[in-house]
Amino acid sequence: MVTPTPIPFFIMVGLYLLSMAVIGIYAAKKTTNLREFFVMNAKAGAILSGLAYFSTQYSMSTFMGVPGTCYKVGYAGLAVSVPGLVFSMIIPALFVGRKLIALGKKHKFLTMADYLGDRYDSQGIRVLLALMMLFFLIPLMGAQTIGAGVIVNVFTGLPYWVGVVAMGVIVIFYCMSGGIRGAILTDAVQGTLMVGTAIVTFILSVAMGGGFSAINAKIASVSPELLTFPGKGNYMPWQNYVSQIVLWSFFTIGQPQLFTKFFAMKNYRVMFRAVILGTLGMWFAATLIEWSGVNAIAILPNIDPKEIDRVVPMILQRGLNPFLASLFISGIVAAGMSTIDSVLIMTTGAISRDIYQKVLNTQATDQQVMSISRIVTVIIGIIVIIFGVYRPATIFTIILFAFGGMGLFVVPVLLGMYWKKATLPGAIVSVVAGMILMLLIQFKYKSWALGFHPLIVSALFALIVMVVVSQLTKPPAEAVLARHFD
Amino acid sequence: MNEDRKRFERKWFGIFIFLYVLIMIPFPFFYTKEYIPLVSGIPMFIFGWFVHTAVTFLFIYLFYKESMKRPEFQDSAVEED
Repeated sequence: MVTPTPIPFFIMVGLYLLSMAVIGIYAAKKTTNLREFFVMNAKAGAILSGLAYFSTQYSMSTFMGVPGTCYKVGYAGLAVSVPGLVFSMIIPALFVGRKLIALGKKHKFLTMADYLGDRYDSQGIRVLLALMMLFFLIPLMGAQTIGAGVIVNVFTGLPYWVGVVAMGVIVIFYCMSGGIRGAILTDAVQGTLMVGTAIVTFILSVAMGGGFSAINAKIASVSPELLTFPGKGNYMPWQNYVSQIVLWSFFTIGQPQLFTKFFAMKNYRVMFRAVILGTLGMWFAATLIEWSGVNAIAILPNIDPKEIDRVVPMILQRGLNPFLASLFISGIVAAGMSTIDSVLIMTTGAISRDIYQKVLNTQATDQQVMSISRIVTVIIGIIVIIFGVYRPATIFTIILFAFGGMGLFVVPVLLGMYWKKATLPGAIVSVVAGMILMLLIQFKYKSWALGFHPLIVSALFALIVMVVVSQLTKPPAEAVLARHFD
Repeated sequence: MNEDRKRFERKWFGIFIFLYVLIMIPFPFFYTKEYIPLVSGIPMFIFGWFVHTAVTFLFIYLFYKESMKRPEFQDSAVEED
């Protein structure tokens, strides 16, 4: 059980939120045009890019949901992140990153929709992407605010909605004013705090358990299943193990908030350094925080199953004085905020650029679009807050669903980049067909996935559909191919 | 794309895909239903993952170093219009 410590919590988390707001004001002064708002004029350096990439990908569920799962199922739960995390950045960089840096600078692309719209010479695919982003990414952002609501509730006794609203308002503020610069600068601070929280929590958990030998002996006495695969409750069969590796590396290619990070990078040197730094950050943050969840089996036995998501705050509160505990709990809030901000910028762009400027009002100037972007940021932010207050499912369930939906875009992105015959009808039909299959598997015919994540089967199906439809339809214009291929 | 560049791309693509597929194979040091403690009771597969991560990380670094010596990765190759 977590004991409320409202005063230290308000002071430390308040200081953290205040510093995010100050960064937002600073970023606002630098944000004077649309390209700056969305991709920082493609001038982001390695440290900012690396920290921003990892802190955007790793969210509230890395610090609450997954450690809770590890507490429940044992060491097998670590397979959600650890075996595959070294590929989280190098696989996207290898497949699309290098091309995106070149294409982004050459054609002034700002978003994934810019790339797809240009490659398939269509506004229709922009609108499809924009609509899917609204459908899947608002829940993804809402899931982050759920964590903040829970944390504020257990640490202060205030109603759950207070945390949701507080987090939402701060993120809206610095994204609205500072655009991607605000998001990336705060991501860098948040990423550092996340790594710090993971290291401190892990050291505390090992010390509190009396060392690894004592911890593992205790875990073995609770249940030997906790020490091996597939984990307690058959959580991690081999198919799920493979799914998790592929999901959080290869399928991140289809996530607009990560895809766009390549457009912001200054050059290839920055990309490689960002991959190295970001991968290190991911390793420390995910491995140590999730392993802490396993160690908690020995040091915090018999946590109420409804409270296992709070295992990290519990370790921090038991092991540190209330002020330090609150500081590192800010690291958990940071994990959620750093994901929301990038996604909020992307969904804003989906409406203000891809629907408004490219379809509804093609005469709109960049300045008008930037003003509208700020209003759209506020509106989407408010919808996210409402979603968070409503809380339709658990954090990890919502994130898996949202991540899966956007992951389907890996098919038109990759084929568009590497296959000259990829056509617009092929791209649209493949995404729609893949999404229908994924929803069918997710909600009705689970056995069709053969034990793998529904996205894997759906993406394979989408790939076949795209190849077949592209072969049957008119090939892309030569001018388009000349722009996209050497 | 010239032949030399193609060879370079294929080599590194092959290395990373090999490492990627390797971690998915259920070798006892990556995925096992048997409890095999290695050090202080920590299951062996945790160390298997760590070694694989370290090796992959080393290859990422080598890829970076080799790429930076090539003309197509220089700033001039990505200059804005």
